[in-house]
Amino acid sequence: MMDKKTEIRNIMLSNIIFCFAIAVCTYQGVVRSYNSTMLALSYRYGFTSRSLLGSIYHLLNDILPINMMDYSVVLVFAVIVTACFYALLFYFMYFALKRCQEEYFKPLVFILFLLNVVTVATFTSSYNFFRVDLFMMAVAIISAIVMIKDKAVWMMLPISCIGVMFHQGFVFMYFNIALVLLICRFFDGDKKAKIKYGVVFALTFAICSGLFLWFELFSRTNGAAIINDVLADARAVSLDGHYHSTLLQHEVLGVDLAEDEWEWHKMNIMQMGFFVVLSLPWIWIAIDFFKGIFKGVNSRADKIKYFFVAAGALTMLPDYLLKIDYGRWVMSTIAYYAIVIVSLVAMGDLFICKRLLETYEKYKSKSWSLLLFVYPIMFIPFNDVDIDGFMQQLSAWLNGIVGFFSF
Amino acid sequence: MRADNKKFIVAMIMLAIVELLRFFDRTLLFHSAPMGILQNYTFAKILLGIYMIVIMLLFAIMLTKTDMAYQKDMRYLIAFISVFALPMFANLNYFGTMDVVALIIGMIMIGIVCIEKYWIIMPVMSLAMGIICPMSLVTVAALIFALLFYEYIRTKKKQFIAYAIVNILLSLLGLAVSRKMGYFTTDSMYALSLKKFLFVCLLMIPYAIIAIKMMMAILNRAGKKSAYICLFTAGLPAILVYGLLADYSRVIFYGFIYYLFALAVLLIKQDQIVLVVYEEIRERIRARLPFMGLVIAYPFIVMCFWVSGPLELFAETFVGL
Repeated sequence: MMDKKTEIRNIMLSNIIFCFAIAVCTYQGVVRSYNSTMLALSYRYGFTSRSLLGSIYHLLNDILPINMMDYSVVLVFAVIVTACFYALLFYFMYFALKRCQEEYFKPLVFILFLLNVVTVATFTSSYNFFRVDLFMMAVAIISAIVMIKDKAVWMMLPISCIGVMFHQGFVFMYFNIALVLLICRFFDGDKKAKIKYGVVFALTFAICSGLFLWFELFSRTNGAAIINDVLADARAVSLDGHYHSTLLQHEVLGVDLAEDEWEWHKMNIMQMGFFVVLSLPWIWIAIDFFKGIFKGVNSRADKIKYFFVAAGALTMLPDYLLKIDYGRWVMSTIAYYAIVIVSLVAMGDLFICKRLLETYEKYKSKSWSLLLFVYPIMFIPFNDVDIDGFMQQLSAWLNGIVGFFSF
Repeated sequence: MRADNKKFIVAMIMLAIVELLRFFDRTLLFHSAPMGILQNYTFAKILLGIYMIVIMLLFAIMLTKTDMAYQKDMRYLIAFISVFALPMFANLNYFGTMDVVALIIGMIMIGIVCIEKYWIIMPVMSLAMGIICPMSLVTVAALIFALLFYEYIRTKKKQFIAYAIVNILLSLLGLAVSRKMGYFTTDSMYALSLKKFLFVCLLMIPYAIIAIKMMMAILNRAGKKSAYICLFTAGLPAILVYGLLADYSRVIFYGFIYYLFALAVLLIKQDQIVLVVYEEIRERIRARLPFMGLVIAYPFIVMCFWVSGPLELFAETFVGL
């Protein structure tokens, strides 16, 4: 029987080699216009939405002795940042494994492997390489680490605010991780702890919601005055000067794009139908897992706590209903469940640990269980408007027959 | 068939359907063939369907013929074979190639080796394979020859050496016919660049190490080494020939398929030396990896993104690949 340290080392090595292979096979050496144009936005034009990344980039341009406002430098910067993000992702895996009791290793490793595979593929492939979602997910992982360590919990407030400042969509996509973990700590704690977590939750929720409303409704006031400067920067940082005009129309000039997106919504519906059907094995296992939790729970407090764990992904509902980037919503839904379950295991939630092990043992004994390793690879990487290339292919084929959407 | 194996085969069929949906490009490129109908789009789809059915039947036979103690291992081997066998001929570059016909015939012949019946039809199958797919001489025919030679050494029945020689001679005859009729080409496809191929080789080094260690361990323990030497070396012509032709996707495909099918047949035959070595290697891998399933999933990454083609095409600039 291997000691824990050696086992963790072997797991990390396997994980790194596996993810390296995925990164090599999916990397395409290009920062798409949408992702590079984000760098043109900056707080020098006011406290505007999605401008934190651009502000950091402009600051680096001011400090460093190299001209950062050039696409070739953007590409190098993107590689460095993505590598750092993967280092954080692997650290999260290592950190969770160290905290986990050995008997619950296998199911935890399985979830972490799945999370890493999906994340590395998605954020290395061209659609989402250097996308701001990477930073939001990094914020979520840091939040999870803080909650697992249960030290300096007050940091959840500034960390979450940073997430919203990267992209106001954080409140729907990745903020749920921080909130649900705070709720879990609240229900598990004594009276003094409940007050602490309750205050942190309330403040974090209120301030981040306020930030969201500011960015969404009030921050775009001087677009016409700054647009030329922003355009000049956008051209400089984009491949061949081709910036993403729709992004700037929405973020700088405040143009509402919803009217133009109905055909994309129709495509989303078709692709989501395919995706749900093809993901049924995984959905079935997830439902079975949560069914077991609710069957085994006795106290009202635990029922409420695990309800929030199960339903926390519903913060994504406004995005699914109103916006068209289904690839990103699916990625963040998977990330939510993976990070929350891993965090709860690392936090020593015995009920989750035992239920996870039961589910793992139940499906591992099935003769077809080993195919679950192969199956997810066909779906990655996740894109943005298209869920992934596989769904895009299926919807294009079916649309050729039924003509549901008009492109 | 046992209930768990039935469920496994059903799961494999469902996986095959999903893989067809994922990898099928609905495009037929030109490939040389002895008859025009073999290059008809609908007929090519029918052939692909037959290929999938035959492979599932072969998997069912392999499971039925495997000893109870190695059923789980056979399921892993089958899943490993399917990683290469299922997507390869659905994607753009290899859909409609005559390799599909050669493999349909070849898998039927492997099935005959497993069930140890109907040997008499093998010469006819070898001729058909050689005429329709002359390149099968270095791929499927080489595997069948090696398996028949192994059967000869194992059972000492001279009919198998006769079948083995006839198999190669008829494949050569098929090659001659194809050259005479003027339809012979190597039908090389250049889906994978040399740089990418070298990188794939780098990624697949662990498998090469495992394969070489296994072969050396078997040879060290074997009294009569000729059958094993034949099995080990008969897989090399496909790798060398397609490597020289720069059809690197086929190098990867046949490199894995040959040795995986050979190992599967040896497990079914309960070759004691192979069983002992296989168990040792399996336990050493199990000690290093959190899940044995990773052994299967890892090469599927390469198949999904490089060999069977990416679903989107952009500039390839990772270290110049």
